[in-house]
Amino acid sequence: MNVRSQISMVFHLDKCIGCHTCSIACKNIWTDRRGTEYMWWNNVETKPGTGYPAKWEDQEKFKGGWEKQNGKIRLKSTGKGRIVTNIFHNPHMPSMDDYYEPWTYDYQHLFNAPEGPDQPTAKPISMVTGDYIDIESGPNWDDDLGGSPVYGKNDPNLEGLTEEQKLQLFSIEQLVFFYFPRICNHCMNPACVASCPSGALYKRGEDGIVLVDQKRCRAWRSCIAACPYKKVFFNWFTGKSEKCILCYPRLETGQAPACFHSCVGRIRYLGVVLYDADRLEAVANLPKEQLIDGQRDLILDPTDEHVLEGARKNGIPDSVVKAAQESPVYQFVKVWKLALPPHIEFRTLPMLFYVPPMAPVMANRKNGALNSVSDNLFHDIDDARVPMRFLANLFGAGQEGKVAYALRKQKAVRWYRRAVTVGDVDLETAERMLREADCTIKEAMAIYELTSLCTFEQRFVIPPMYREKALEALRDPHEVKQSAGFGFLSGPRRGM
Amino acid sequence: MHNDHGVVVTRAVVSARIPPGVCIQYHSPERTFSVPKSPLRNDRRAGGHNSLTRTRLKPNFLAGGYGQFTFHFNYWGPIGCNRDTHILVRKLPVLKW
Amino acid sequence: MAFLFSYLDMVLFAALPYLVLFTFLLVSIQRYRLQTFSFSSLSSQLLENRRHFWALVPFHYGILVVFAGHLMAFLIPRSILFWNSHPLRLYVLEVTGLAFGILTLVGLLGMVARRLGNSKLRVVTSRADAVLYVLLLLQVVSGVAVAVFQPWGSSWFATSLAPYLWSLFRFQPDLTYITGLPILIKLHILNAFIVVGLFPFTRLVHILVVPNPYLWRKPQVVRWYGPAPRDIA
Ligand code: SF4
Ligand code: SF4
Repeated sequence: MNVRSQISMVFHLDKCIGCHTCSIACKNIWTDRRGTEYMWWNNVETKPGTGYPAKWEDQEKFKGGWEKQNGKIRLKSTGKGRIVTNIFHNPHMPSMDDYYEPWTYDYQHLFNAPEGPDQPTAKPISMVTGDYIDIESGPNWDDDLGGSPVYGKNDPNLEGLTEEQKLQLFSIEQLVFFYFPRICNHCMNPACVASCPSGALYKRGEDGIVLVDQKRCRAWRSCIAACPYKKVFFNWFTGKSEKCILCYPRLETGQAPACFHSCVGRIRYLGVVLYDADRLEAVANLPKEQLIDGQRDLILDPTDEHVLEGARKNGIPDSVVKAAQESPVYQFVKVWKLALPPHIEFRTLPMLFYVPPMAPVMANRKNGALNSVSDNLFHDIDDARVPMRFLANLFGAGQEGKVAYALRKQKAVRWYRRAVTVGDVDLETAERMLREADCTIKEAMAIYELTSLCTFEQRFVIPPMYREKALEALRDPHEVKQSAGFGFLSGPRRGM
Repeated sequence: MHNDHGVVVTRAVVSARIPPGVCIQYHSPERTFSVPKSPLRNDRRAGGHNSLTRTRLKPNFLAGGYGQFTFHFNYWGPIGCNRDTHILVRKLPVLKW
Repeated sequence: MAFLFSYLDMVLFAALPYLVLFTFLLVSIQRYRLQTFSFSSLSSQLLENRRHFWALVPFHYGILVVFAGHLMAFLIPRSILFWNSHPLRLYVLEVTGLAFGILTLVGLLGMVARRLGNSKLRVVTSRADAVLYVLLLLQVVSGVAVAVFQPWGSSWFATSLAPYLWSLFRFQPDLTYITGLPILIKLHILNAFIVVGLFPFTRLVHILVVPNPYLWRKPQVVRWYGPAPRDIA
């Protein structure tokens, strides 16, 4: 066993209200520079929808992630042999048209316009060229099913749905959507890292954050095609790749990442998990149906004696282990099995997990009257308005069972709490539901608490990261200061 | 959108949420940006402030000294199509700034 | 007049090479030390993806083969001469060289057209890029012209240019090989020196950081702040 620690995340989709506060928080801190205007390290998508960049999930097109070949996994887009041909022109890289051309408005014109018969208006101008442009798409133009014939109907997750189910997704009074906020998953088996010819991308050993070394990146662009989530972006101005850094400067000072901190729906959880790095490769190579369980299995129980010993052997500080024991992520993912990885079939083993959203059909219109359809305890879960198949394509590697399990448990917890607090459903039924959903009363209470009553400290269990100590151990910081100051001194700029 | 009160040019989104034949307008779009000229107004600008429903001022609207009717960029009143009996919706034939 | 020319030859073919080599080494090393961030191929594929393929791919394949040819004639002139002793083989070599030269030219023209024809790309084209394009065009056009008008270059390169270049590296520049050369070839050589001299100031530096370690490193890269607890992927 080779115990490693990793900062991992859970997004509770049932709580996301699609407000984009997270995206704005991120943009204001990190991507408001030249060359990064089009990047949204955090973006919020409406599902069904094609997302940002358009159709990122379609790996026939973008060739992101890993695939199995001759019993081993290899990158879909590149590799040691293929890099030679891909380096001049990357055939799978999205272009700016797949994202959108960033724009602003020519506000100055409102003040400078010559006198005329008409009131001036600020025309849209491109943030790349500064020329007037006709805006044709934006990063979230599929919001709330806006433009659904263009976006929603082209969602790659609709694969395998019956015509009837598709109709249900898009017909008036039936249609349904949910929000899907995304950041880099800081994967256990990152395709971006494995693809970089320069070795500029790396995973930090202590906390698993995946970063791009800006000094080593030479714009070979492999990572952009290789990441199946399209979460590495190319800064067209500096000629370097950039990606979500999980606000590591904030984490290192004990603060939650900006998108987590600002989340209005409080859907975000963050904590440490311990995992076994020795079995990583084997797990990434499992058959598709076993990937979810395999990844759960990689995540180690932070109270187990062997694990603790392994952690000590690998120099993981006790405080980090303690944080792992209190980690909300561990509860959601491993103990309750409520949170599922997005598209684990891409085999990067993402470390951001999603609690699938509930959109149950509570009643049907029959003969002009609404009838409750909830006699069967889980009937409405199986007949959910979002077809189970759709959620399974997104979060279950195609297996409906995994999603159904998570939804059943969520529903049982709600019924139970309803029985306790309102009392209009009978407690016996509620308890039977809990049993059938593989949940104890104690667990139900814990889920309830961490879902609805959670405080800031419960949602974000940030371990001390000891970066300062690591620096001191290597060098006296004052010596560094005198010779070079602190940090990266030459500012990012283009070329020489 | 237009009727005999005026013309509003704004961006439209086609969505499965809205049944065919129905349009919804949420807010009065800011007239100060991204509003093209309308041929229906002899190629003059037609935007949010050009309400399809007239906003009639009463003296007490001006009370309080807020900027609502003095600062031009602000708009105070109903959206472009409130309380109108009919509105015609057309696709803008040519984009003219 | 003749005196003047030989003087000019001295400056251009005996002094300039050292000057450009010195600049090349000094600036490359200093730029790598002080401006590591600036080492990038500055790819513009994100901004324009379609023509990128038709321009960049032929150019790179062309220039690599042509450069390899020059390098071979410089390093193993005797083997080249031996190969060329048979007319058919000489012919094959010449035609291949010319074909790849034309490929390079086509790609380069495509690159220039692409840059000029796209407003987004104009934003990311610096003055250094413009100078570089002019120099490269000059170099490739003169190269192709040499191949057409001064044929059998694979042989005369080996007999006269290789010894000249070697004499440069021995710090005893021997201009006897150079003085008699046609003006076209002289232009090609001279422009090559200029490209080498300006190399470290342009985006060409990406050639210096071509990622060979990728071929033997492990797929995953993990960086630890302290020493890694174990040797792990
Ligand atoms: S989500 Fe993409 S960018 Fe992030 S670690 Fe995984 S492969 Fe890399
Ligand atoms: S801030 Fe939170 S609730 Fe709002 S869109 Fe982002 S994830 Fe959803």
